[in-house]
Amino acid sequence: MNQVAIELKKVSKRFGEVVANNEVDLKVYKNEILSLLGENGSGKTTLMNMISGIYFPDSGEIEIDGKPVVIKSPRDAHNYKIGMIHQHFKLVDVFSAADNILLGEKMSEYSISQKAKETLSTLPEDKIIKSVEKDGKTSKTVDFKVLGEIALTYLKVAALPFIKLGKLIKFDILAKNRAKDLQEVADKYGFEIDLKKKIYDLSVSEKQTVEIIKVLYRGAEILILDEPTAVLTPQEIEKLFAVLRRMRDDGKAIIIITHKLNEVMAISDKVAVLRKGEHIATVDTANTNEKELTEMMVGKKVELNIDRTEPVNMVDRLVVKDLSIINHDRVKVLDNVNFVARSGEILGIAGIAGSGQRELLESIAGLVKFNSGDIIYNDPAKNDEPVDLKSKTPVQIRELGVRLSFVPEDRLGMGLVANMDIVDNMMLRSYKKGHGVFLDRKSPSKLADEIVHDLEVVTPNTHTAVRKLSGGNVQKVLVGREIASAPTVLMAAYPVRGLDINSSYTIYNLLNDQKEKGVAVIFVGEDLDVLIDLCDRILVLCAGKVTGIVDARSITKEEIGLLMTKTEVSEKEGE
Amino acid sequence: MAKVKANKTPLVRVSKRTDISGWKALGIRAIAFVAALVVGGIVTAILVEGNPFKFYSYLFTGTFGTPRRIWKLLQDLAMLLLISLAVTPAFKMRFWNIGAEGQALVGVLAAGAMIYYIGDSVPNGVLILIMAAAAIVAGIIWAVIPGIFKAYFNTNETLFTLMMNYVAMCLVNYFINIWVTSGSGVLGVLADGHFPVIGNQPQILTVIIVAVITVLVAIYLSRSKHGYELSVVGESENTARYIGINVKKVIIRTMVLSGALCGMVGLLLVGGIHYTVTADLVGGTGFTAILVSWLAKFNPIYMVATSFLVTFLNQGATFAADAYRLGGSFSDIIVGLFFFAIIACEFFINYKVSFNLKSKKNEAKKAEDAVESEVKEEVQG
Repeated sequence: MNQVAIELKKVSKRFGEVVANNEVDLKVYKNEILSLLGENGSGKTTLMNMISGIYFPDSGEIEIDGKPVVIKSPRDAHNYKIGMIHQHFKLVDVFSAADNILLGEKMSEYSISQKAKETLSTLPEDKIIKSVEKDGKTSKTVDFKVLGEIALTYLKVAALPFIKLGKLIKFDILAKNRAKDLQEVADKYGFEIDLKKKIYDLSVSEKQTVEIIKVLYRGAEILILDEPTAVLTPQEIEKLFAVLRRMRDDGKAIIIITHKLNEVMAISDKVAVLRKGEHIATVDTANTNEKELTEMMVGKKVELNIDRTEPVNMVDRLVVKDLSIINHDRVKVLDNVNFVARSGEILGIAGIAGSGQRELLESIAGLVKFNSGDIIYNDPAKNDEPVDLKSKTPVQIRELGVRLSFVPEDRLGMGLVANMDIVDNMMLRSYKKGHGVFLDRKSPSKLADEIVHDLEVVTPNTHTAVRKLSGGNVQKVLVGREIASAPTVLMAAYPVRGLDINSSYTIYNLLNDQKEKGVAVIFVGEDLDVLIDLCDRILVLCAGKVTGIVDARSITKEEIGLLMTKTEVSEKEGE
Repeated sequence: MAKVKANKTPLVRVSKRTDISGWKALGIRAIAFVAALVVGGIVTAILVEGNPFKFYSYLFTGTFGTPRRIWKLLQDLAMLLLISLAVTPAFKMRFWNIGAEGQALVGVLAAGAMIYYIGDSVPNGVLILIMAAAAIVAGIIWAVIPGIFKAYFNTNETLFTLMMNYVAMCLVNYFINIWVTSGSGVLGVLADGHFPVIGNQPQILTVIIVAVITVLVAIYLSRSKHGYELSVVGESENTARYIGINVKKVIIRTMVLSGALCGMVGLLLVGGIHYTVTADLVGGTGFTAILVSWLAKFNPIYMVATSFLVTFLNQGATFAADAYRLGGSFSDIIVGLFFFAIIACEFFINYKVSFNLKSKKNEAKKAEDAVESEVKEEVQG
């Protein structure tokens, strides 16, 4: 039987009114990979943050190796050999991978006060002034030997800070040697990485590898990975899993947070399910299936199929020809992109994060200037007369009568204004209507009421700042607003990122409705299952190039995964 | 295993408040204000002989004791409010204009120059109009230069506007040197360009003008398309780009407004209050205004209250300093204490501090819940 590495007993955490974790019990064993599964807002990250010392529990106990411990800070967590790999990497771009790993490493404790005490305890007990009897008289003389000893002792104490400084300098100089130890750690677990490379030269998966090596090198026995697969390609995920298995066999306890059920089934030995801050159950992966886990996770049965209708009355709505963009860093972010978005269908765009998806959508929306190529919109109001969108600002595009809606990736930073209420956010698209200098809040307010009602946005009222809404409700507000302007082209970038299953389906249904209404929908997604189930065609981007436009009904995930990494593969072959 | 010090839970725990009721926030601020007054009293007790409690009565007699003092209070309040209103549109746009002092000062200079050069040759009414135009244009120029640089070159507006203050100050001294030939270096009261006096109180006109501007700025910020655009730019430039707001245009337009209002401040100082020009005529209110505007959360109506508090304390403490025969720095200490307390209390509004005393924990929690439910009832009621 395996030993328990860490055990949580009735751990609770509240944030104001919100109960993030309610009396959660959790056991993680050595030689085991535990998946932590739950919808958004079920308290997974909060729980892990309490183990890694970022939050402190309101009540409950944490035991490590059977002993109760208090983890007040990330340093405590480190001392208890807990390492967390965050979703967003915390690396210094201009340093090499090895430097990043060594960064912040402390030399062994060297306490000046303690050393001083030790040194002072060696003070001679003889008195400096001694009485000498001579000829019956007692005269007092100074004992220079004792005086010398005392002076030397104090000198030693005074020198302690300099000794410490010397040790520090030596420690820093020797850091280069320790880089070799690192490569050993890396090789032991089969990481394929050159630690001398600078972080900015590394791919996302390599950066993640650096983070993992970092916690391993610091001696972590309990590893926590927060959604490690979100940014990886299927092939990279396989590699990561292989590494995790090797670490497990090496005696580590591993906790992995993920939304993806197939990954849970593939990697974990046990699954702990959280729902609304409560621990529902921990089950052996071997004795369960995806359906059962989903039911535990959402608390009720959900339909996992997306209704996809056959596209009808397809017209070429948006034609992108030879689009290329070179960014400020002189990197070609889009390279000769050609495609057509048709009315009445959903065109999916797949690709690893940062393959040019954002630039593509923003150049269509008029936010980014492109270096060469054309974007043509066929206006249905004018008998599909072509309109050139090249070098037009968003306002000009709107004035041309192009009904283009855009749900950007960054909802609160771009699509909405976080500190404004729902009504004012509705106004973003419409405030310029009318000729007066004053704002018309009546129609936005009506629209806000409609969206809150129709899309079941959970909010106290329409005068609540959108930053106070949960992720799903924020997205409903944004998508609702974009759909309200009756678009003919609807672009949505990662519209379900961070949303729970129910909210995700609301969004899928909205997109499908739009498609049936004859809107040309462009959907940038990351979950390949969703792309395959929702879209009619899928365009795959890789490093700014279109590596394929495929029929979603007949493609497999693996095929898309290959297309997503196509140039990388061919580059490696070329080397 | 490495050493971990004693098995203790942290004594003080700080957690971010997700939401706080308006009443509770107001209560915390009131406590801070009272605390500032109490500490002010203690400072007085240390510094003066005699009855330190008189400090509090001096505060009130110094401000509300005579009609003259009340008018002085209203006038200072109006001027501080106006200059706070001037910086507010820029602040709402997250454009940290700390150059209101200089923008008002060039307004002073422009208005004074008009009196000096053409005061004799045109009727008073025309002169006042010319002064107004000159002061406002000068204020706009001083504000829009950093605005243009920010919009086109993304220069740091804080440093830029700060430096413009010193340029303005030197300009004023330069012109005083030209104008004053006697060697005293002080420009006396100018004979022309005085604003008309309504009802025997020279302050009334200033108060009326500022009251009207307050309402106009409040409407501009909350009800106009321009006001909406500048708050979008302030909250998120990306969103502004996304919906097609011309960010450069909004920055420059807002700085024009900010500068025009500062120019008004200069105009009122010359034509309505001091009738002369000196380099310290604005007297640091341009900087105080930053705090006043900020404390009012950039809301013009709240700003009436915050500028009242500052003016009240300043005038009251100045009176107390005279009564105790203390130097002028005394009032600075009192106003400083007030700002310290008010700014420090923002921490308690944004964060919840709880003490982890095990035996008292449950009681404390109960008390806290009780307070919270009371507050809730109040709000609902």
